[in-house]
Amino acid sequence: MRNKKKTLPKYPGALLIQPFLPDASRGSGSSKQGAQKQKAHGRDKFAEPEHDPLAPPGIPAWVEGLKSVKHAAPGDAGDRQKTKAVEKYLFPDPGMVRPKFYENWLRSRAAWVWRANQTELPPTLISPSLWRECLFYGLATGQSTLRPDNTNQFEKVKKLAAAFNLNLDDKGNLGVPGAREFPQTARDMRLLWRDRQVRKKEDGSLEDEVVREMLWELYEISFRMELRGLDRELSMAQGWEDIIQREEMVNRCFAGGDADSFELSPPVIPISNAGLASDELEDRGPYIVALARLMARWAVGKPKIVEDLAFSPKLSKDDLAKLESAVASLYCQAFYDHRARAPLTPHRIK
Amino acid sequence: MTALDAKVAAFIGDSVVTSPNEDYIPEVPTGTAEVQLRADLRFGPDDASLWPQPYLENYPFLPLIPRKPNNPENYKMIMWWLPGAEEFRASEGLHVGGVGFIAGANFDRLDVEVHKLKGMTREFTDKVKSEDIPRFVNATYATMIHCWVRLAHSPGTFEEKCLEVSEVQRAWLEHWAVMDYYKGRQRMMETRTEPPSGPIKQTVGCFTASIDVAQRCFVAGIPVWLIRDYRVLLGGRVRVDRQVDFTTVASCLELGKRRGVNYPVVYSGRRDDERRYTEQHGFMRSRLVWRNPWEGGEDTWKMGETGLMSVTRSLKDLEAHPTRVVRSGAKMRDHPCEK
Repeated sequence: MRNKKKTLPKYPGALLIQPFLPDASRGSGSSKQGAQKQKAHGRDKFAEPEHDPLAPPGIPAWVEGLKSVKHAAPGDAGDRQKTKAVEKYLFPDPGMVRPKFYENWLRSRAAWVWRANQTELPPTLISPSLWRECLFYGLATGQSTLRPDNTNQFEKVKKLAAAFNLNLDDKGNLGVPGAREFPQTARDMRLLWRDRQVRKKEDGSLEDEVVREMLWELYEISFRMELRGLDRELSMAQGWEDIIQREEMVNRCFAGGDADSFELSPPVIPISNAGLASDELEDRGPYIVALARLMARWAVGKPKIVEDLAFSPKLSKDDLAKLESAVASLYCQAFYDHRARAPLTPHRIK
Repeated sequence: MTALDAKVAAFIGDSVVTSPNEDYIPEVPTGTAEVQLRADLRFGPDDASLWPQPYLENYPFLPLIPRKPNNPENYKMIMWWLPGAEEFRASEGLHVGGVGFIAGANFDRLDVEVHKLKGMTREFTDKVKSEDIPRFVNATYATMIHCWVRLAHSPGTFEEKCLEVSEVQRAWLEHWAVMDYYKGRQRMMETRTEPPSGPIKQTVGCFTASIDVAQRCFVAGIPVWLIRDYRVLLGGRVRVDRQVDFTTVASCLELGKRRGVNYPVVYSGRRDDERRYTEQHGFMRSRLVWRNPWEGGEDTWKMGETGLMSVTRSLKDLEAHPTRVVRSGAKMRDHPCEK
């Protein structure tokens, strides 16, 4: 079923931008065509994964914000272009990482985190299918099974490695061209999580606690990097002083973000729900406000409440709850509008 | 002895360079500056941590950068350490060949000095109202910490880690100079009339053609070299103790290129332009900035037929600010290091 598209009046030299249309003309929620396209590749990415007891719980305002993303009406300029685009990710979408990939992700995550934090080259985004190949063959695990015989996959990964300024050798290992080789040691072969040897269950699967934390980290690290990237673009940050200041503002949206030694990526695994994911609204307050202040400079249409409350010296509980919903919805909508896919949102650790 | 007198003097063309408080005269680099990282990952004679620079009113702390000690046991010596290949370790659990960290006794020494200076800064800032903390203290402190966090926590290639070591060292030296300036030297420059008794501070010092600057440095115990027309000596009112040859850049500094790496020229032009210094910072700071993978090329899907982006806008907002978000998608924003 196609929605009949409402168009803006065509005046000569009229609006140079194609705005998203009011609600009536836009698909609303995950039941519409835009979402169905994203569903076609698997799960509905605008909804929380179902029936996975180890998946980290969503934060209600963010679950709702994601669900209420308004999709581009079929046929408009943005939508036509979007259908040709491939969704790409900096880190694997946690909804796509199947249990069979868990171990390879744990073994390779340090390499991917390293790549994502590089400053020399923009880190390359990777399509879900290529992520699957990388995880399936155990790229950057020290135990890669990718060989030149796997011609198509090998060539694809080799191209990816070149985009990272890395070589892919015939044993499927990545390396810095011309760099000194370090022999792999038994210590390198250990399966670690948070500097601790991971124990496996009798059926060979990983401990539940490790899986839960690993999936939380995947959501969190993607959210952090996607937020930083979107802020860079929408704040139109220019010049290194401005950019560094914006990065510091992004840091303050997370627990511990005002400390000198804070690192946005990788996130520290919290022992309890913290920051935007805190259980109590009052505890989430400073981070909601930090996010609202960050968004205040975004060159997008914002709900009035964000501009009104972001810099308000004192917020009632009710105002804070409204602000939380507004920033979560605005983030999800703005991300979708600029990246043509669902954002990965913050989750609770338990 | 006054600021205009010469413990030593050396001649260049029609000029004489004199110092009232030093025993040698460093070569005054001339001609167009081509500022570029050298084999030791410093900027050669354009590096304020290696060689005296022309005094810059906007950066008055630069002459207070500590001088490389003669005594190899001096704790500040670590600020000129360049890591060797044997100090590079693979990053455990990161399965990419040639990526790792710098480690070992030298790294530990650097770690200690960074944390000592961090503590000294906290002690200083705790005593001052936050709005009264000089902006250079905050800026150079933040740079030192950012550089340190990256060096200590982010794996990289050997070359990247060596460069990060030199950036931490330069940031430490500059922050040290800023602290020295605000903790007392500025006051000395502004209020004293006589130089301090005893040996002068072992800092890089500065060149100047300004008698006022020479006077301020002299009374604060900062090494200074005054450049004037040689005819000032003819009146017989300037005391000259000794004529010396210039201490040449080539005899003291590494000027060769880094093997296998072609670092960009970060500034080319006049030597008295402060950009010669600020562009070095720009290069360093640009390397601290994360590159946005979604910028340029990746998001062409949202270009309409006009080549312009569509963004989240309500119609009301659009009417109120019709041009606010119109940007050409064809143009990528410059990264600071590409400016």
